[in-house]
Amino acid sequence: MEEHHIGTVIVINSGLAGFVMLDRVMEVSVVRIVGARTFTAVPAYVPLESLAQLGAYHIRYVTGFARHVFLIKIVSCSLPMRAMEGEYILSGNLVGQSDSSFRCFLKAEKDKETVVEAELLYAAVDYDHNFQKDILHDHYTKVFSCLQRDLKTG
Amino acid sequence: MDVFAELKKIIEELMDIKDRNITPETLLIQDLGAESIDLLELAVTINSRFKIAVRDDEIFLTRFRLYSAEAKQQGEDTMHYIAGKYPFLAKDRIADIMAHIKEGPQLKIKDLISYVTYRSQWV
Repeated sequence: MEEHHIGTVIVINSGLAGFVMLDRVMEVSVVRIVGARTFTAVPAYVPLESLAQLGAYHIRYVTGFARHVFLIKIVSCSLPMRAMEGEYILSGNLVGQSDSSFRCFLKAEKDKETVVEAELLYAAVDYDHNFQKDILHDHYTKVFSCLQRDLKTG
Repeated sequence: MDVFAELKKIIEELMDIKDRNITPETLLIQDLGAESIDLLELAVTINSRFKIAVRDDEIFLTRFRLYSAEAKQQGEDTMHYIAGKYPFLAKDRIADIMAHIKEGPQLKIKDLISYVTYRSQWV
């Protein structure tokens, strides 16, 4: 069975440091976000992680990067059995929210065919000593800015 | 829209419970075993289903004990103080919660109905 070195793939595809599994964000509004990611023969749970990251960035954008956002539940998802390769368009819609929880419907498409779908639940909490604002706020705003400009960072 | 019927359906779906006798008097946490993650999911579902703004602290009466203590500290009438924080609750319901608060979380389905009905006025 072929091994996938995800860390290496991140460097080749995006140039972004860290566990960022998105290449760019092309569109974002209060209700919708669209991004892209190129995969190299990866199992479908990898694109699911990309969708989860896209949804989390959407919530951060909606909340003005003022709170720490994290995934708390995969409400539902459908994954193909085959490996995924090539560029996929990732999109997410905010379908429900309270002041501290958010539900997003996300999908990965290739050639206008939906390949992965997921409904994910996120929570947003105030920064504190565990989730430190001076580290996390700067990190996520910088990465999001790079994704929107399609910049490569070291 | 029958708010109770819709809430009952949502709760049964989210918590995957069937054949439970859910009534407006059912305690969400004590009777049904709802956990914090269930409440978060319930909040977003209520938002999308009823098209109302949802504040978790309000709808789940999270700060009821805190407000009660605040009222006492500030020398204010507890009933009046809590009614100001939770305007969707009737005073007899606030009195009922205060009487039983030591027994555990008192959030009932009828409190959710009151919240949805109250919030729906502002849509």
